[in-house]
Amino acid sequence: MTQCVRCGKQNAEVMTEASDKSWILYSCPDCRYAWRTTEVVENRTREQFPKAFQWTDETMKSFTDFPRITTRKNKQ
Amino acid sequence: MSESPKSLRELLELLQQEKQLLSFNREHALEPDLSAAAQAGQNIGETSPALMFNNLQGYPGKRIVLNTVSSWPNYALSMGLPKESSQQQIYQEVLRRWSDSPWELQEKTEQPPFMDNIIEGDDINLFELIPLFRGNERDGAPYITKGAFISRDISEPNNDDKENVSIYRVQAKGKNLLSAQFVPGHDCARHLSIAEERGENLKVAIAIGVPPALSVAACSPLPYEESEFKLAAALQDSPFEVYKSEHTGLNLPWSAEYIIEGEIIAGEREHEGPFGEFTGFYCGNRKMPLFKVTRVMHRDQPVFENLHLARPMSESDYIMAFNNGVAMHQELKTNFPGIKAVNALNCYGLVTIISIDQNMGGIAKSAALRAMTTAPGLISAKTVIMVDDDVDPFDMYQVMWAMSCNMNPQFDVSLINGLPSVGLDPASVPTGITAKMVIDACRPTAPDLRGNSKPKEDIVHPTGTGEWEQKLTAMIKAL
Ligand SMILES: Cc1cc2nc3c(=O)[nH]c(=O)nc-3n(C[C@H](O)[C@H](O)[C@H](O)COP(=O)(O)O)c2cc1C
Ligand SMILES: [Zn+2]
Repeated sequence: MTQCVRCGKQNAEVMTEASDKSWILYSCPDCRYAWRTTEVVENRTREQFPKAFQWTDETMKSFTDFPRITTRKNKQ
Repeated sequence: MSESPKSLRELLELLQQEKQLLSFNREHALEPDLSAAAQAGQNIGETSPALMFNNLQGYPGKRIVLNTVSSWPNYALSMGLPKESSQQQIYQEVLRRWSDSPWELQEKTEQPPFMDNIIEGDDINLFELIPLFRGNERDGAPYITKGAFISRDISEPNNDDKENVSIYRVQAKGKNLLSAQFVPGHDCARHLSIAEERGENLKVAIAIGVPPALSVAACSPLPYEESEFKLAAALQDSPFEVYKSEHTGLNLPWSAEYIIEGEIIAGEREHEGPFGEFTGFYCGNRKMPLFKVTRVMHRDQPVFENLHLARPMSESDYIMAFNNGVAMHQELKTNFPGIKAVNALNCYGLVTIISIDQNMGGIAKSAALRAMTTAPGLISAKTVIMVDDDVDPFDMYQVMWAMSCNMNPQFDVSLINGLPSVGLDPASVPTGITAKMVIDACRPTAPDLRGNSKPKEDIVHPTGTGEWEQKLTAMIKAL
């Protein structure tokens, strides 16, 4: 497992690799950030990822549903 | 006028012939090259070509096209019009086809080319099948930005008119997982709500690489019970070819490059974004519906068509350019037959410019107020500028002339507070609420006879100017 560039958790997974092995594409199952290893440095290194765009569990919890969930009506 | 292209491939061929397509056969990295190239094309301006990347680092056999309809010549060609057409000429033709051409589906049973490659179940890996790449640098993941998103009202599964096609932003979240943004009030939000009420998942599909008329129709503000496939038929002036999926029951555009099918999971939302939007700002911080992918199909050597979003003008502004204006025009014309054109191409119509033959003082201002209560105007039309019908509302020099010389803020500006606006309007306070403004830049008309900009006293073009214009244009073309 690999550290996520955005949320810092250790669960990022390889999604795919270049046919010529020139890059790996990762995605984080926690925050869903995805990146390719050949991108600009801010997008692929935890230390350089812009602070304003980092996410913590609190950040994600504060988000609201869009659109809101319609509650299930019981069948009569 | 020639025929409108009926597939992405036909369009690309036409763009190539008309020198409106650049092809790159040397290898290119996906980031940051593709978005940088798309942005550069948009910076070059309103006649820029489509960009076709035939050799992508790490994705042999795959291709990406960007900026397909990101300029006026490319828009005109995608509608089968001459590439020199002015915005006003394209607008009038879109308006005519919208109301006069048949809205017709053609259900084909012949196997569509996208069924040459079918991937299901555990074999699905979106990141492998599609050369997904990051658009703007702070986007949270790769996005599909020009997919035709298809869904139906499950309470009336056989009603083609309640099938919807829209363009929504779609985030790639996993090998077989996506998420999508349905703005409340948009048709798919309604379809999802009906499904959630019954506790059922909603079957959906995304078609990528579709005929240009469908991309335009997909971002048109059609009423709930009208089909975008049928509008696409009217816009391309020929029946729209679809294939009924046995997997989802949805109509699929027959010539599509890629089809992604699956379902929206009822009752679930998950953090999404951020994503650089058409306003020029990143928008996110919301939980959005999840889309579990169950089948992917694609043509041989598929072309992944995507769109680069940025502050105007970007491709999304071009493909939406005439939709809100034409839709407003349809609503306004009964009460205000003097309206000639509605330019609502600036950010969804947040600024709308309307040309009108005002037969009596005060009519232009009334039409502006009415524009604010049309279906598209309700959440846009923040500033409505009214000009006379001899002013082309798509020509900013002419509009600025009208504002400069016909408008006196003491009489001609009206503000109304507390009206609705699209939630993405960054200036709305609170989000979704705004004041609106009418600027009446028409020449005063009787009985309102203020000032000196009298209709009968302005300079008219010298006799023969029209013939000279045609002659010069032909000579310039032949140079
Ligand atoms: C590039 C692009 C991206 C868009 N993204 C979204 C989106 O994420 N969500 C949304 O509701 N509308 C989005 N739209 C706007 C809709 O496509 C448009 O408003 C359409 O008319 C909605 O139609 P509907 O009411 O039939 O759903 C986007 C448009 C474009 C051109
Ligand atoms: Zn993460």
